Amino acid sequence: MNIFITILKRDLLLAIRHRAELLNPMLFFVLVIVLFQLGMRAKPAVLVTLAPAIVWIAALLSALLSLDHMFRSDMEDGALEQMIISTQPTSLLVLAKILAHWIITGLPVTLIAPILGLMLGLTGDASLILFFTLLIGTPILSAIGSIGVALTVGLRRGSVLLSILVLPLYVPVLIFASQTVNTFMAGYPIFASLSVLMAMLVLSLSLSPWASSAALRMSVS
Amino acid sequence: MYRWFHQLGSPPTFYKWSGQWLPWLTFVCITLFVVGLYGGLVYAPADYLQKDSFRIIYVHVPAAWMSMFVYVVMAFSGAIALIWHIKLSEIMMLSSASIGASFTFIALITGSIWGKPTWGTWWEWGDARLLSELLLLFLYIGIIGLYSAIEDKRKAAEAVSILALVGIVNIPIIHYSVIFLNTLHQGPTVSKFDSPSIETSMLIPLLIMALAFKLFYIIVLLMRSRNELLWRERRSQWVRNIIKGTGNV
Amino acid sequence: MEIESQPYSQAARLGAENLCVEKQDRWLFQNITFQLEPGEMLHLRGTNGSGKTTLLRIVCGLTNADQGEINWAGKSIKQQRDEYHSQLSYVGHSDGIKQDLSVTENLKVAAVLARGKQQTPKPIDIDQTLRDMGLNKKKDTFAHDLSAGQRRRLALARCLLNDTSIWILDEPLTALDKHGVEIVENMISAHLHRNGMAIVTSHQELTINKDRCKDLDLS
Repeated sequence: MNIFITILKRDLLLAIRHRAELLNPMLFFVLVIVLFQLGMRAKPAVLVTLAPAIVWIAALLSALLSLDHMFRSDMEDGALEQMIISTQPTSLLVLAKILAHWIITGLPVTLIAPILGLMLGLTGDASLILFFTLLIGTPILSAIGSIGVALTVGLRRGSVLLSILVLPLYVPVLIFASQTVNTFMAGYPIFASLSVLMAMLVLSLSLSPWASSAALRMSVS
Repeated sequence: MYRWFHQLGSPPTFYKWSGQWLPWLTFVCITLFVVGLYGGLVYAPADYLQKDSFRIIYVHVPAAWMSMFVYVVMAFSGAIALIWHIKLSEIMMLSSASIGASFTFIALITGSIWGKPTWGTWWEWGDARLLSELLLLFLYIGIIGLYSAIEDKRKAAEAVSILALVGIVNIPIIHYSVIFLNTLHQGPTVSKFDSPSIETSMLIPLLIMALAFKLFYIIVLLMRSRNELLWRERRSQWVRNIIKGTGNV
Repeated sequence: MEIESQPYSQAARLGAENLCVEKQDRWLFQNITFQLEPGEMLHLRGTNGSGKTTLLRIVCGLTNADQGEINWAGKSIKQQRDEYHSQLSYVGHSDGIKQDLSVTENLKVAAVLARGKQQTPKPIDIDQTLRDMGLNKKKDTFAHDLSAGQRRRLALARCLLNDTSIWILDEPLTALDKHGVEIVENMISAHLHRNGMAIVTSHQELTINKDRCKDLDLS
């Protein structure tokens, strides 16, 4: 556990020392949502039905944009080699890095989302549900994303490939999360779809560190 | 059993063995295609509702089946390659990727063509199976893209194995999430064998076609693997013997 | 220099058997074999691109050779990854130092990575190590404010702090001034004296007891 906390603290410290970059994922998230509305000029009644999907797609893109940071700088300065030849299980290190990535990118997005939900015309309750789906869903994005980054971090130009690898895997999260909010707004119970999201969270957090660490070993070798 | 498996895994044995089988497989495959196509396009009666347009299922459905099947084969051989480092299964996996992608593409195109007379649109977003086919195509493209992006081909094969395994865990989840989204497609018509909702005279050609597709896959897989194998082992003695024409592999 | 002088308890023979590596259709090197007893150093020579770094990375277990194996204490390192890595320090081309962490923070992370379940290093260990490497005044400096030579020394400080018996050093003397070279040479000498082992690539000659030094030329 010691190692988990050390790496988590290290990554958060590094993020705080780049304060300027810390805001970027959130700004990007807001910007995408604004662009959506500017491009569509949808009527309020239509906008409400689109809002959950818009917010979620923006969250997806902002997660994707920041994924590369997860391992890139560690790859470049050799810190990744040191992690792999350490006596610690690589999957535990990866899990710490996934959590750090989520705290830096997913959490701010989750916190600001209810405000944007209100701006898009969602009711207070619906915004709250949106917040919960993001709270459960964005860690999944970091976890699944870590596999994609681990596979492409050794490549010089891996970012387009990264999105092709990762986005199809994001589809179930997008569907269940935005459908949860839509179901809620239609007045149906949402317990089932929220549980599916939870199950995906557990599954992705328990499986992706293994895949990522295998991929990292490949990338570093 | 293990010994047999291991022997088959050795490149020269595989090369020799597959070379002997290929002509026979090709013969059977062509026969099945001829019989299946005749049965499907001529012998089977026209559908009550869809008239003759339904006959595209003799290509569409086997291709869709194969697109999933090939991915499973790929993930399996990827796992074997990762765990036991058997070169042959690495090659099988890599050769499968583009074949699988082609099957998926065929399934998508034929599905879209079939959609025009049936639903009146070329693309129906409400159809869960077509959507999962599309996402499957992206998974295949990701695998092919990753393989070609990594220069060191041994590393590339390892990366692709990992990705294929991640994909195989995700495919059911993607599939069911798309089904959850909406179900407009007609329900499964074939897999429930106890009370088949399809006429026997329509079903038999379909099964023959499915078999023909499977054989076709095996043939192309063997041919591509043999090719790849020769290239990888180009400096070993047995390949040199073949090139020199002494033939003793 | 007040480096601990107790011999390493887990020093054991390290060897390579018939290592072959292929790169872009030709052999980078073939049939590399060496044996290193505790207390010995291997000086790896060769022109640029002769595969020195690759060989070091194979010894570390970071990369696989196309053929051949690395053995430690009589067994392949693949069968004992964790034990082997707990005895290994590697300072590569890219030195694994985070620019935005201070000297002390860098060493702390490195120590936790290396030691695992054992305790984290006491502050006094870190102070001692920094003094040995001539970095004691830079304790709280950010790594990006260090000179290239100081950064190199910080990377090498990991070997001392982690108290490992196998050191794999890729060009440890780059960017070091005369004084720095002296520090590193003393450090390696003391390490060998304690029954430690080192594999070092270097273009410069190292003034280290010749009896303990083996040479391997890759070119």
